[in-house]
Amino acid sequence: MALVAAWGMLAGCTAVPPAEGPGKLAGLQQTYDALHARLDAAAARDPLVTATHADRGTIVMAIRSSLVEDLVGHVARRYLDNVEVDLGDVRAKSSGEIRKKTFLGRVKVGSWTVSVELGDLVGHLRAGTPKVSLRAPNMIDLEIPVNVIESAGDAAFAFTWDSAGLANVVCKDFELNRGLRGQVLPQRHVVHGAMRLANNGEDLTATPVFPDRKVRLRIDLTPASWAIVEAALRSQDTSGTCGTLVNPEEGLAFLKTLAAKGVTVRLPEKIFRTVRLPASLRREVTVTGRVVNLSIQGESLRIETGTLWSSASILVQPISRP
Amino acid sequence: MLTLVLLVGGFIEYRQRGRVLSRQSAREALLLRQIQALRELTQDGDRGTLLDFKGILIVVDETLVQDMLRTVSPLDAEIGGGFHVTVESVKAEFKGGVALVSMTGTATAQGAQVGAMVTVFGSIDAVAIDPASGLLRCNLGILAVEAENADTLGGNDPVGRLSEALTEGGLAALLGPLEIPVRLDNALTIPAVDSKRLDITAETLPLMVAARRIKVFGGKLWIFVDAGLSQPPAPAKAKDVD
Repeated sequence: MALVAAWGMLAGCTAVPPAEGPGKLAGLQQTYDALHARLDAAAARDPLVTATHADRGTIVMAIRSSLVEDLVGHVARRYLDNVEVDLGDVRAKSSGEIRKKTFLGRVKVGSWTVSVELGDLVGHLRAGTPKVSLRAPNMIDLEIPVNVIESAGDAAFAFTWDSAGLANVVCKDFELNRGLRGQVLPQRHVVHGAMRLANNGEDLTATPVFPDRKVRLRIDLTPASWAIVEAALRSQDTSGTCGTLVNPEEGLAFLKTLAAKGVTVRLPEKIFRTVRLPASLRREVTVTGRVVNLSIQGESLRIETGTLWSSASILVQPISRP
Repeated sequence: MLTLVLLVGGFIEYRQRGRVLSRQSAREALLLRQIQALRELTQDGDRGTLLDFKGILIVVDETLVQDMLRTVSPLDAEIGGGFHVTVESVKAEFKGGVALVSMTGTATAQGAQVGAMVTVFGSIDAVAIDPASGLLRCNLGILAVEAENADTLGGNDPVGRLSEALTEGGLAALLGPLEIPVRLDNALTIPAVDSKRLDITAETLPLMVAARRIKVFGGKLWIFVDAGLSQPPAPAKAKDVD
């Protein structure tokens, strides 16, 4: 009786929870196994799970293509939005000869040179919403619509006439210099390019690839300035200066054709800047209050199943202990 | 004499039974948690929404977490409740819906010379983005505690008190923050350009990033991160010339 009482006392003071029977555990294990098998089967059918397991990195990052397109689209737009292109150094220059029929045949009567300096003229660019599409294995194609906003600025116009041969005897050379107002005409262009995605281990970068960065800007003079040019040409339309040989109407038409061709501006490569995507790996983490250094090696980067996949192998460096 | 023998025999059986019961209890706790998580995962699997992430998915292999924890082992801390815990070995196992982190070592009561062999079963219950560093931080919880020679810890229900101490800040004292070496920025920066013909200031596109949930299976921790531009910029009011 005493023994039973003693055993009862010990059993009452047990510090552990009441026993679950082995049968209960076996039942739980059975349920676990069945569910696990069901999960394994579902995972094997899932293309995203399969894609993840195909990577051998210890960390895999997957970014939905819609997010990549959204981010890169906004970046690309920023490249060319609210950008001012200084045309101050742009010079348009042309020259030619005028020949006339004489009894000696066609002879050169003079040569002319025309030049336009755009002064403080500035091209204002505004970008529209780019067309963005991912292209396997690692490219993002871009089409960026760019609107050039109408703007005006000072320009300098110079026209010189140099008589030649017999004409030199009767005609004086002359030079016209006029201050004018130039204008950049409103226009729209589409800039084509791409972003190349790369995985350097730590960062995912998108580097612009824009081999053709030429934009032809259509420029013109203001109507008032054309009037000044016309008046200048006509002022030389005298027998003494041989302006008649130049023919103001023809000269004006020629200059307008020149303006209509516009100027080709090559956008600097550095306008398209490399950006880091917002998910990256770090070579240092804090674990239990201690700094742990990691060595990272980029393993893969690919566009697949509507997703940008990247992976890296990470090796934990031993901590030097005191 | 017979009484004494029976008492000693009963005590030994009690100790052995206690160890078995404790272990079974931890196993049961783990199985129950895994079954609950597996039910959700299999439902997702049946619906084809196992990996229904919207923005970014970060997949962390169990070996990385294990290697990081092993590097800093042994761990040693006063965990509260008068207990001191030293963890000698750590094992990370990400399967069956639970990111299990098992820590085995010794627990000693204050002033005691001899301690109890303990295994602390923790699990990564959530992952958050540290607002300062942008790094992913794991939140660990206590699943169960298993102890051998628990009586050396003294008092009533020593394992219960040890579990309580670990739950109420002890685990944090022992493990501290557990960071995953993945940084998620809340902005995307486009560098500035300053050249002869171009003058563009650096621009920052603010992003919304938030770790939404985790799933655990196949030896991996799957972290679902919602991400996107926080305030999509208004379309440029450019004059359409065509």
